[in-house]
Amino acid sequence: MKKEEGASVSIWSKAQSVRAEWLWLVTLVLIIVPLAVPPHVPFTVNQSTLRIYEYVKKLPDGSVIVSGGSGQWAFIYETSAAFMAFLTQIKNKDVKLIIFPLSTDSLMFEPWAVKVTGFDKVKEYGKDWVVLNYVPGGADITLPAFMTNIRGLCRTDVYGRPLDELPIFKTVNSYKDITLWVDCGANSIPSLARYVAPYKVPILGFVHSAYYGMFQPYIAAGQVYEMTNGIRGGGEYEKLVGYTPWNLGTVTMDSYQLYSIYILALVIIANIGTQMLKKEEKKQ
Amino acid sequence: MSVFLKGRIVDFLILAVLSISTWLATYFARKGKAREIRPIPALDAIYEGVGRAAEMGRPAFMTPGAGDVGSARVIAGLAILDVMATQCAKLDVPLLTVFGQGALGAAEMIVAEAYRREGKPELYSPGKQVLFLSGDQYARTAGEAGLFQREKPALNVFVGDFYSEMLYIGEAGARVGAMQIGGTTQQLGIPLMAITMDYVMIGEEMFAVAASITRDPIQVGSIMAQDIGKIVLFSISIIGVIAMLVGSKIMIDLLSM
Amino acid sequence: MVSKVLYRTILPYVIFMICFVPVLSNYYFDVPILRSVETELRNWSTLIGLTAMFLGLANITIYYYREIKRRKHLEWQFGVYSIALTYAWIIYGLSQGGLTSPAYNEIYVFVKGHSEAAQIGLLTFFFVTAAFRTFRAKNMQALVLLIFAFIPFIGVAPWGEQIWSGWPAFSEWILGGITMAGSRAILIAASVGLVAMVVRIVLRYEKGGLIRG
Repeated sequence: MKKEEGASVSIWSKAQSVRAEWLWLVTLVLIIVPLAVPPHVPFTVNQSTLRIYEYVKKLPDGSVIVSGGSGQWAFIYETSAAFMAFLTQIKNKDVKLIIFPLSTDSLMFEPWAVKVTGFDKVKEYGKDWVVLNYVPGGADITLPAFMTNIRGLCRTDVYGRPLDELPIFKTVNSYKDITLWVDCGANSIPSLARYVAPYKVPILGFVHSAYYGMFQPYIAAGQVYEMTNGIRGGGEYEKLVGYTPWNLGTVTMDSYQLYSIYILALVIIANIGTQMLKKEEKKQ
Repeated sequence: MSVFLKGRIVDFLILAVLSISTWLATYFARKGKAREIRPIPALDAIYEGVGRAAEMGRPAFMTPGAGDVGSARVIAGLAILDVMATQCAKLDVPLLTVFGQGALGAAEMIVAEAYRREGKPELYSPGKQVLFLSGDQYARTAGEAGLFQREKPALNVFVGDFYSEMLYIGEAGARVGAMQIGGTTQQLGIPLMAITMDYVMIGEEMFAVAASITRDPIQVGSIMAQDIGKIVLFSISIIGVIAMLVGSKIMIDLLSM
Repeated sequence: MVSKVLYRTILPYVIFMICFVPVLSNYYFDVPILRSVETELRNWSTLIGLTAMFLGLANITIYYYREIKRRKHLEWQFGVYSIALTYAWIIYGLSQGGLTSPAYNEIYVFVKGHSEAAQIGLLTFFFVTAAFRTFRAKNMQALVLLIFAFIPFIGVAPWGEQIWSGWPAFSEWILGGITMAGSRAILIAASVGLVAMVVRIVLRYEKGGLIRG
């Protein structure tokens, strides 16, 4: 819109052309302030998170859980909240955990999450939990082999110890021995639905909000038991287990409260501004 | 004893129907019975974009995103690369592409071939047009954003596997004033492309590249076959929904055969 | 001339068919020999993936070497930084015993991991500018789209359920019902497009790209 020399620029026009850096500065303030002064906003627990919590609570003693997802560090704050809450919940149960990383980041992330939650302090490595070596090639190549013959795919754990020497593998070698599969990855659900679900192994997913809607068909089809919804799902799960060392989900919800109001306000201002500018143009 | 794996018989039949319909459609298309397909604005915009890059004296950029050559989306991206490399060679526009390590060799081959076809093999050199920045999604994205800042491309084409990084590189490209064209079937990438790109190819539009550009009857025939396939699958869905509503699980049992 | 045709057209197609037919057949048929062929091909695929890593490393080295040599851009020094860091990381990882070394673990988590998390944190800011610039309801369709986009957005926020306690359930229904229907439609259409593209490649109708018809 041309501005005539000497004419005043309407407030709506100024609002439309505000610099991005100012918007970012306000965003930064709105995110940091709740971290420094947490208001502890209340939020209820969703049915899907409750179902996961109840399901894990009812796992029988001696259950074998495989944690296999292509987790990415870029998304750690979304999926790790729920995953850490899950580890906190199973920490005091008589279950075994096999970490089968489907990506290099997952290989680093999942053992790190185990350490942060103190899971490794109450469980014995090799007997109650183990980290398998990363096998390159992606889920499409490794999962089919894993489900039928774990030792055929992974000869050693990540520390180079042969699987035959690890007590946990005296009774575990294929899908028949797996009670539950959990996924804290970015988008491993389709691969798990394709290669794990046919063996009737229940799958729990700790997924990002962006994928939550997208992966609903897998729940409806019965291939995935349930999923948590991003950071909110993580916060809900933390509430159920009585909080985790990081409390990422709960802490983030405080910032999200203000951030979401800010985004909504910006969109409303942008839309009102557009309509007002149109009216001004029509008048002129 | 069935030679088929459990639950795969109907899958196989559907695949067979799709394949046969593709073959039949291309057969009839070669006999002159091809239908018209609608133009895809995003593809036409690629030519416009390369022309814009030539006028502005700035490079054109293309990437198929995260996947390797085993991904069909990346293969579609390679088809677009062929088109862009040919146009860039024709108009002497510097071409920059970023590929994953799995598709690097294929991309080099396609670009070399395009320059050779246009009679300008001396303009191509390995590692000059086709770059590998990182196998890591966000490391690659940061590299691409840096590339946009340094090279200031006039045209950015993103066709392939894109996820949340689309917002990052889309904004980075918009800030240098590039014309941006995107295409993906990744449902996370589509809405992010819609808000950052000037033109978007949604879903199967990116698989119709060759048909849309060349208007070859065989290619157009296979697009007709896609429509037939969609009608078949949507019909199965609708029949299944009606069956479930009346309390019958016949479609579920059939599909589980 | 014959060797060029063989190399550029026939050989890639033959390799493609040798890999394609057993892998596809193994998905549908319960034949032991197909399973072993597919396993062998997948193992080779893993090896090719590993080899491609070296190709990528060579490509990075060549690109940044050229950038440093030309010094065309002000930021050419970052090329030195990139090459030095790439090789330092490889040498350090190999010397420390790889991924299981605690020292390497710490550096991986606190440098790579958190840098990546910071990268994705930038999306928070980019989303603000994208929303402000793009989320304009220019017509009724766009307005409806905007409203339905913001319902789940508010549904996740705690203040949404303060306004109306049913909001989270309503947004779940939108995600699980309406969005799922749209997702399925796009998924089905894209899958059909994929099958058609593969059939075109098999029948050698696909022009351009990897397998030239």
